[in-house]
Amino acid sequence: MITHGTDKKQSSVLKSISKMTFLPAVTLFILFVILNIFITRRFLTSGFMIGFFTANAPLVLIAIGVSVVLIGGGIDISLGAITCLVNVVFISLVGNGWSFGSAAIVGLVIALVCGVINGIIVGFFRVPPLLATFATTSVFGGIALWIMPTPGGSAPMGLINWYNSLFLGLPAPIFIIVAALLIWVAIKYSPIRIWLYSMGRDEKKAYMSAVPVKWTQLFMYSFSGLLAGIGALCLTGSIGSGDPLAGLPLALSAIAACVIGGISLSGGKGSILGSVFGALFLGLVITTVLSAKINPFYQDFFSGVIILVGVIGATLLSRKFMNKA
Amino acid sequence: MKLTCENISKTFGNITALKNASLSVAEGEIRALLGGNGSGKSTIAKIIGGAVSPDTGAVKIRDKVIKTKSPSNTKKHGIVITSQELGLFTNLSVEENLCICQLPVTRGLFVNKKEIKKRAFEILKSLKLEHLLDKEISELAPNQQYMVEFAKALVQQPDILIIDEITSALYREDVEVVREIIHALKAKGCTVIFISHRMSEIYSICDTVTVMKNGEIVGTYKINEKNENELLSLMTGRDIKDSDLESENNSLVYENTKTILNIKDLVLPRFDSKINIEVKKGEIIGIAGLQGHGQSEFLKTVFGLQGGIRLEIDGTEKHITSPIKAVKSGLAFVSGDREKEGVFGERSVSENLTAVNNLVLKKTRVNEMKLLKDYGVVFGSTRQQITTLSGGNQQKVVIGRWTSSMPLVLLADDPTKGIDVQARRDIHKIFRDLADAGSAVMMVSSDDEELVELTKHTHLSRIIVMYEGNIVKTLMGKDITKENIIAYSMPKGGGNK
Amino acid sequence: MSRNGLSLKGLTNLKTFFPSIIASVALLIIGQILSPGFADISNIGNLLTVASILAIATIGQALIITSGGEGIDMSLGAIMSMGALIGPMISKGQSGRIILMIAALVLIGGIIGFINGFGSQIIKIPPLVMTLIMASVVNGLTLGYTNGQPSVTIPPALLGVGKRVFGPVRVLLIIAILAIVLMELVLRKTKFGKLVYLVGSNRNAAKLAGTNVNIVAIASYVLGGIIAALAGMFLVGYAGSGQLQMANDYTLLSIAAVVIGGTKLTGGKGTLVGGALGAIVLVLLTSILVAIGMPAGVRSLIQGIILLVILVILYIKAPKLRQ
Repeated sequence: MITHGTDKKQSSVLKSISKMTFLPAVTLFILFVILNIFITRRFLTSGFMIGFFTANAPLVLIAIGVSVVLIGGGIDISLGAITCLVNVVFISLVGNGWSFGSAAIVGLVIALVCGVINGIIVGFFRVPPLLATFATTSVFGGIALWIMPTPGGSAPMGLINWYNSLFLGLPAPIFIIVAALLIWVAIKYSPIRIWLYSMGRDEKKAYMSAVPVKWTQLFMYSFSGLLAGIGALCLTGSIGSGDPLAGLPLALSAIAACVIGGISLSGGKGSILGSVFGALFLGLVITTVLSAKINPFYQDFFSGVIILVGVIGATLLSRKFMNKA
Repeated sequence: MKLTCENISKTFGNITALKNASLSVAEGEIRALLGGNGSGKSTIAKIIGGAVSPDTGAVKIRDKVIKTKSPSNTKKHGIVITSQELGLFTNLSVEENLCICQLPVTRGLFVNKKEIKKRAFEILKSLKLEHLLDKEISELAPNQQYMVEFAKALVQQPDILIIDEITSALYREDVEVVREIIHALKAKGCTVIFISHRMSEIYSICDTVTVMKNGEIVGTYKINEKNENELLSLMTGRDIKDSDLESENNSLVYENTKTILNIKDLVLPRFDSKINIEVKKGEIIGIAGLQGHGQSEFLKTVFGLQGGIRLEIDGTEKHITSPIKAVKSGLAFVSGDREKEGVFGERSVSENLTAVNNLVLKKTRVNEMKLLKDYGVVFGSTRQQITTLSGGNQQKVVIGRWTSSMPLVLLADDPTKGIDVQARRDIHKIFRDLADAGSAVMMVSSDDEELVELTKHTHLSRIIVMYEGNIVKTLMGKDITKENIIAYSMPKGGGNK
Repeated sequence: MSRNGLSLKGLTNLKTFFPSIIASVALLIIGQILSPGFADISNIGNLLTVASILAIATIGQALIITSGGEGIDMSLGAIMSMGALIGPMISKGQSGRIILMIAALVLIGGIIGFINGFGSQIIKIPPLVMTLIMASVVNGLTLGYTNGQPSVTIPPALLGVGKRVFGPVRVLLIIAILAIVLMELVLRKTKFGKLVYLVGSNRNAAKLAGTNVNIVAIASYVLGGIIAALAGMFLVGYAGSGQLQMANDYTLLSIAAVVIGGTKLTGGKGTLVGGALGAIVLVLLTSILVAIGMPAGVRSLIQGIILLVILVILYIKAPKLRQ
């Protein structure tokens, strides 16, 4: 039909670049690494790296979880509340003499159950995901606050020590992130990947194509719930105690990380890799603001502004280069 | 009987889509479903396909009632439905799209990519489309996308295949391939239900035809039992004669008529083209051509939807940078996609009708009642929500939104898509009245016959045929025939690959 | 044509109001049973005053949601908190500077709203994300401006919003009613208001009809920002003291009130009166829970469950995948 005079080679290169939705996030990440080499003292030391990954692993994990939901055309803003809930349950159980292992398992089961609840409300009761997870945020967060009205308790020293150490020469949280990514890789080779991307693009069409829409929705919210649970254990290792509110901001930061990472909130587009770099970039923003000797009361403001600029940049970039098709 | 539908009824809100419809189709039979819009043919297709649940009634295969709980459920019984609403995903590869309904897995867990590739290649090869395998869905031309949609149904090895109007976007060569495949399926005992608006296809492909009207089955006939006019009469409940379509044409008037819109060297995006045309006062211009050759883009560009453009409107040069400027300069645009680009679904008939007049142009009040009555809109109150009207009536309201402000030029992009015959004729009359009142109308249609019908009745009219973004032919007077349109749509040496 | 449509429209809307009216009455009775004195006229006056603040905030939220395009304002609570803390600082506690305070809040709220609108409409960042990020920016700004220790001296004139006018009716209630009537008139009678409904109902159609979709949508965000900043000012005037992020709950509450009030979340349809009724339901519910001594966690839990139940009931009739 319509033939274009463009060089085929060039267009195929452009095409494959345009498929790399994670490029803006990776670029931002690298830029901020370079920036921090200059402004942050001891940036490239293992001590700093441990601190960095310890603090940011929860965000990375939750970003991985929420990515899957976003790709499938949903959204989950309850992950912060799930994180809080698992954190306080874990600390309470440990405080009551439970072993680390059994408390962790109970925590993960609770996280999974929370995800399943989200999945049922969205998948089977057809409540729009934003509203559904908005309501469950109030439910999960409420339970967390009920269990532990004020911060307290302490995590087992074993967890804190391992989590804040080098393991096989790398910061320990990296292994948890890699494990989560491996789960995703397994999913990628199953039909679920095709189901997720098709649903994200058009739920109704996917249903007509015999995609098990409800079950895939149940899966994706359960998956994100479980990752929030793992993130909560990391958060516990990082803050060393229970806090009914500490995890709440993670829900929104994770979504911002995904957007910067090239995942479209309208679904069906983007990659997990982008979200990981988006989350690491957000972590670097905080490092940068802390290093920049800004009036401490204005640090929140500046990190907010940098995130805003990052999201604007990512959005503009992806519109310019990714929507050629 | 292979497939039987018994006394199926379905209502959507207060609209009855099907009333006690019963239908039975034999093994190896190719059955056409024919009817105007709202006649219920798509609804019954979707019920058989499991996408819509019937209020009452049952679907049986070989006299056994089957559950039609979901598309995946009916697919287990070998029922496959392929429809005009494309089910392709632009973010998946062609082969993934083809196999999405039944993904082959190894060890019960992982997708078997080799098998997907193999199946996709085999099916595309049988359609002579194997070159599409490595392409992106978004790179495919519309007709190719419909062929892939058709292939997606074939991959599932249907026992009962329902084809809901996919052929309206296909070229003749494609339709020929589809015809061959359908007949090969028939030889294997597959039952086919074929929904189309194109009479010629129905006659060349189908064995029998079931006519539907207002959600009821009018009757089922052998295909050679009835001619076109008889079928049309059954569909509409009125006598149709060829003499209805009389022609009175006078091309001499052309020279002396004032130019209302002068388009000079218009470049269409995606095409390497230059369009020049002078649109006369009181003229109706039909824009024909194969799908995807720039007809829609042409109208959209004129309306300022593709960036700034200079036009001479009513003698003065205007720089149209957006629809806002276009509307203020006297242009109007009616989209064929009512739901997405036409109606304000949550708002009343009145608000829909007066949007342009009262809020954008601030002209005198519209006499809403009179206009709605003149246009034959069936409605209860002007305050009722517009989506409670039928599709044709909704589109009339959308058109009334523009005509009531007397635009200089009305651009209509396939405005009667998916609208029944009667409403379609009403809309043609509205356009003609508008032209008689001194405006000009430019209309794209995917239906060549419609363009012939519209322009035939108008004394100042022509059809322009577009190919690859250029006007390749202007047809006037007696030259306006379906055959000519088709001939010039596919110039020598051009056409399909 | 018949322009007496307002009353008729009101009648058809009554149906969407019934659930909240019934819920309010039921909650009043439950409250009276659980905590005698709950349904006293003076307590009802107090409850209505608290609901007034939420109802005013809900006007802005409803406007933004009605303007469509997945419009939502997650920064409403942050803007309110900012209004509550920065407003009194600008007034320096003097009633004479109250006009200056209002002008400053209108300006700041408007600018924040404009950034929200510009980011979501022109740059096309999904409104949810855009306003969420703005929430953290605005909270950060308030923290920085107040140096972490808001020293709120509220001008006596602002404290007057909590005064009784007659019987149990306080000034705030009257302000809320006036604000709702005014905005409802703007929505139904002005060109801007009518366009908000059309733009909210179908962006593409509105664009093709020659309306300036972006300006209408951005204006909704600007108005929403202004209303939120002023609502924060009223909140601090009624509360009498301020603390950081004091109004952050209002984001969720305003959305819940809009949902309960029957406003269509995809835009194009909704009433402010409905939102106000939703606000009353929410305030009644919270008050009962406080009255019977429920801790904050349980209150949030119960609110969440009730919102879930409402959502499930609302969407049980929504179009299914299968019709």
